[in-house]
Amino acid sequence: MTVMGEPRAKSEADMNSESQKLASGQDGFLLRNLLQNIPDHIYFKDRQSRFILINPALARVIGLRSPEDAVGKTDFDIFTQEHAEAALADEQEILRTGVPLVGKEEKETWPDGTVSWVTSTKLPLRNKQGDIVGTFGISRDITDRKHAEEALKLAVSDLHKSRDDLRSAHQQLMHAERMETVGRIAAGIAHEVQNPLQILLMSLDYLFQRMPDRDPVLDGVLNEMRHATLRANKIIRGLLDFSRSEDLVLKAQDINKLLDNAMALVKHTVRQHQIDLQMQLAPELPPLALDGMKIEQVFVNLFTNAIHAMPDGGVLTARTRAERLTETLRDFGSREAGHFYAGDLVVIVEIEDTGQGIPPEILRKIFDPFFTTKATGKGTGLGLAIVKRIIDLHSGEIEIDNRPEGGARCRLMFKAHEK
Amino acid sequence: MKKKVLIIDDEAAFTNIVKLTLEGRENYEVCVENKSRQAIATARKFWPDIIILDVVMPDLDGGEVFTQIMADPVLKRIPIIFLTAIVRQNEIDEHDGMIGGSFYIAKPVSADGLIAAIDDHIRS
Repeated sequence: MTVMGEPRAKSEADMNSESQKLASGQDGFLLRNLLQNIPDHIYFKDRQSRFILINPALARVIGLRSPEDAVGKTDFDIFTQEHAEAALADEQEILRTGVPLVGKEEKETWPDGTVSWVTSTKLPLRNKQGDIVGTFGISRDITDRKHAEEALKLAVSDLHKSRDDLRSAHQQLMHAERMETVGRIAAGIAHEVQNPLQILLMSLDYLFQRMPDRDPVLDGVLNEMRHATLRANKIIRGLLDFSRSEDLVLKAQDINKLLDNAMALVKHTVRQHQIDLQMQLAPELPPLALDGMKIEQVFVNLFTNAIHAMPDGGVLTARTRAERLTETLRDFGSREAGHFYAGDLVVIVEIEDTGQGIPPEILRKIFDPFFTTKATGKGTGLGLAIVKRIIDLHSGEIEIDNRPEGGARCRLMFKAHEK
Repeated sequence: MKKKVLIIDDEAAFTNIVKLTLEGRENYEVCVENKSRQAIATARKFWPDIIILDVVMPDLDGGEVFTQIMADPVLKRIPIIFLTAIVRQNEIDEHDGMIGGSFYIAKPVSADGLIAAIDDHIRS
């Protein structure tokens, strides 16, 4: 029984019928509801890409008081030129082909400079006859997702970088350990071999002494033996140098003076080989905490290599300068090598020759102990290994490469300690 | 009068050639001791003008032999030269021939080098 005057509770069937009526879209209620409340941006445009209708969410984001204010406007009134042109091109394409553009990710640059990202779907707007009379679209703000993706990309890239750093550190560590082992073995061998060498040397001296009237052949043989013994001793001394370069006597040093001292030691050879010597030393360099004797040894080794690279003459250049680093250098040396950071004051020494240069396959091995390209008996293969070790112990950096104009260049870098 | 040189070194081949070399020069009398533990007894018996002492030796090393010599009121006046492969001659030269208050010569040394050092130290 129904009581008159009381509102009648709607039955399930009534409500279904009402929804079906609404769903038929006769009064546009559903569509209006969708447009009013959806947070996505919805718009309709005519063939000239002028807005016919936008929803409140889009009106809000473009700063309009009401959606009606957008009517007649184009993207050029709202977005930057660049963005508006791209959107226009897309819409022209849809008008021409009737093919929708689905899920395109777009960067929106707003006149105030802010950037947002949207995923946008645009379709042709057709009238009842099926003619294309405009376009319509829906776009969703994905700026947060985009930022998260970028952060993730950055994190992945950092992760790769960390992995590479770790790999490189591992390799350096392995290398340093190998070098330490070589050093320890070298010291042991050197000591053991020097005793028999001592016996040989003194026995040869004795033979020379006791046989004053030697025939020339015997004399030659004895001399060869003496030279061979002295050569073996030189190798052993090199090994000891390599294994014993740990103890530094650091003092404030003028690196130009050390270069001059080292040059004085090889000047005779420089002249012999008709090498033009260019000392381009910057005045008033900051003093460096160095073991003067060891760094002189480094320079003598480097000069000697440069001289040997130019048997028929050439130009040997030694250059110094102070520089403030504008970027941090990644440590690619051994474990002992120091880090160089942006803002550090450094002194750079360059030693260049105009010889043949170094074949690329050899470049990566030149600091390995016992690696030599010199003829048997001419080099111990320890010169550059010792140089590298001494520079590492000074927390310096050393690089050897080929100059584009020919010849090799060695570059050393030391950190200056500022007061 | 011949200069008396005591060589304490475990390497017999080395001490033999040093003995031959020095005695070949006629003005040296050389005593060799290859067993460092017997060094003090040999020194007391021989009374050298100078002792040439190796550093790395089995049993008693050169440092320990040196300490024993220094502890002996008479032997301690005898000049000692360490002859060793554990230092380089240029390292010794940097310290004017002395390390830790003792005289050093690096192996390998030539016969002339050793004789010059012996003569210098006996004179001084």
